[in-house]
Amino acid sequence: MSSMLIAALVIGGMATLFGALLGYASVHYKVEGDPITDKIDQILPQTQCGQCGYPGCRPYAEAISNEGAAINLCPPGGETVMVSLADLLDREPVALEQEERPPSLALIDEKTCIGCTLCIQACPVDAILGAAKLMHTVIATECTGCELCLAPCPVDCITMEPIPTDITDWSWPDPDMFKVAA
Amino acid sequence: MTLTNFKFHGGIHPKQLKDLSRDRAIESISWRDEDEIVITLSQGIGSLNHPILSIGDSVQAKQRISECYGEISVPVHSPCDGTITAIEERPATHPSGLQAVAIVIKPDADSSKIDINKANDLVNHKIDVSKLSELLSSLTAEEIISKIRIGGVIGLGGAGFPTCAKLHGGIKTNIETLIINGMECEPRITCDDRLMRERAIEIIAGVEILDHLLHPNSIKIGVEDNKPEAILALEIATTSSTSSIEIITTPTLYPSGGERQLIQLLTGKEVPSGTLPSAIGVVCQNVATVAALYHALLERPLTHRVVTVTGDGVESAGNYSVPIGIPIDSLLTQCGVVDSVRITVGGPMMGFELHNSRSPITKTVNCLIVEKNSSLPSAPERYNCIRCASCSDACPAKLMPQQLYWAAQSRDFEQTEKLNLFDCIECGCCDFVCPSKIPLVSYYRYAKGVIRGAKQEQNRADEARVRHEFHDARITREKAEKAEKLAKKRAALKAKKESNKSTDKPNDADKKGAAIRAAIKRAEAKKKAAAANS
Repeated sequence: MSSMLIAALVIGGMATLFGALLGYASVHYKVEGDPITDKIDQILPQTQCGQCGYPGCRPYAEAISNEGAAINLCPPGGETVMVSLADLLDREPVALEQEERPPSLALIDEKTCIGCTLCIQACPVDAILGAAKLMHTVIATECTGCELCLAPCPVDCITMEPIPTDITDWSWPDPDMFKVAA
Repeated sequence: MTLTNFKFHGGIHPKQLKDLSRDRAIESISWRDEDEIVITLSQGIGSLNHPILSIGDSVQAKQRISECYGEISVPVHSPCDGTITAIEERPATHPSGLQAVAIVIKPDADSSKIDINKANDLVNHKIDVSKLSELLSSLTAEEIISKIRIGGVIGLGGAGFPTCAKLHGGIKTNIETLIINGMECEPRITCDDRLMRERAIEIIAGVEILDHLLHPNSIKIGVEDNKPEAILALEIATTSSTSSIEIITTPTLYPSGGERQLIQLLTGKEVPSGTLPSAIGVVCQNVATVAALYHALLERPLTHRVVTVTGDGVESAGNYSVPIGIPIDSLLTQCGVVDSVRITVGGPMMGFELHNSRSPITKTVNCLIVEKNSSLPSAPERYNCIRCASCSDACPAKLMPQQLYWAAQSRDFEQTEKLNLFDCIECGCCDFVCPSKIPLVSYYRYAKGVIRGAKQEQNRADEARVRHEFHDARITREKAEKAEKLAKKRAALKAKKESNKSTDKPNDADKKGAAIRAAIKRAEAKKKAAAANS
């Protein structure tokens, strides 16, 4: 009888001790936020374009980590982003849903612009400068090429222009492109 | 003259091929009447220049024609009197073959074609030393560096790093050794050799300026032993110098003219990976740069440079002092190039093929190799890597080129970075020794480009994230502010209503109603009066 009591006490005591330890650890080592979502968000290109069907990069990252959304929905990120996501989450790489698009910038035709401010409100990164009834313009270095300003424009004066390569951002091509097939 | 006691890892002995041009004295070649001068706005490393003159403006020789921002950037100058005819994209002297914005100047018919530097004190081969030291003592270090910067001086050895930026780093730290690079280790190039032979006094004057500026413990000029005449000329020039300058001879070995290799050759010290020479108390400058900074101090900006023109496709190979901005085809035609040729800019080891011969001479062009198309060997057949490690033995940066190649060609860029890809100086020793003829350097260049691009992309994404978060925070804040305002207004309205009720005064609505009723009555009365009249 006494041995059973001792056993129960020992087991009970251990349970209490470990419970307390776990309780302490869960408070003391608590991680703020969701590290996996942060990591996914780090990989996404932050264009905030919503082409994935979610209202921005962060919501898409949350959807991937919490709802198991597909990893091939990001056209601006293209294959590079898809492959890094597959690497991070240990999932099979899948073909892209939409075609990869070359990086481009929004350009406002300043002669046509009527100064309605609708594009300013649509821009997710505040990259359009202007005021009511005054001409607007895109700050080229801040534009992510998300195309969200195209739809709201009532006079269709915004176009997407591909970013040309100049000698400052040119880099050497892949030598295997020229390799003669043996 | 002393021999060096140190060496660096690896290195190769390619054929020198300098005989075509090494005994040809520097001659002036200038623009022809039909030529225009094309000055590219981005020369060497550094942020882009902005033109300060407009189309139609006339310029004078030596006049500054651009403004630059940031410490790592220098302006450009006009080499001639003339008129600006265009500021537009022109073929750039660049491996990409892309265009770049340039200022185009049509020289005046009577503009002096002589190199203004040569026209001055070089005629009598004498430099007024007392005048120079007087000038130096009247200026602060910052003023001297600013003069060198405004003079447009960048490294003329090839990479084109702004000299002012190197010197800024130099005056901030304690400089132990000042090294002057007279190695010219690449085959075929002889422009620095000729410069040392003919203009040693200018080089020594430049060294004295650097001595005044940096106060190094020792000054060493490194020259390869295949240039005995240059060594002699420098020795004669140093005898009258106030600075104690040591001329050190090194065995001919490529790439001993690489900055890090030369520092190791002369001091025995290695520049740690990822740092600049100033981290170990060394400043290194090319001989042509040193001569240019001497001229810059005397208000003669960098408008001309010496270029070696060599190869079997050119009739009169030699070393030519040419205005910066002269189209390459004009220079080559004047040297007697007629056939269809391949033009390489720079040396055979590190140079690149020129896509458009109408591109201009820039500050960093030290050599043009012109080869007849008929004499070019066909591309060598390429085999697989047999892991012989010859490249590893030859690598002056002590890298493992075979491993780097393996990682780069399988797109494992993370691995290439771990293998210290960014310590590669792209000297081409590995290409040279590879028995399988693999173009190794082109893989490293490609990998570097991909990694740099990815980093840029990441920076952009990070900036966009911050801006988006700020945008979201702003929207929520504005919404909250609006809601608060609305609530306040509503409360105020409610309070007003209640106070109106309590005093029992006719409110606004009643007043308006009464006014409307009065107006209707007046209108009816008018109608009646009109009916009665008729």
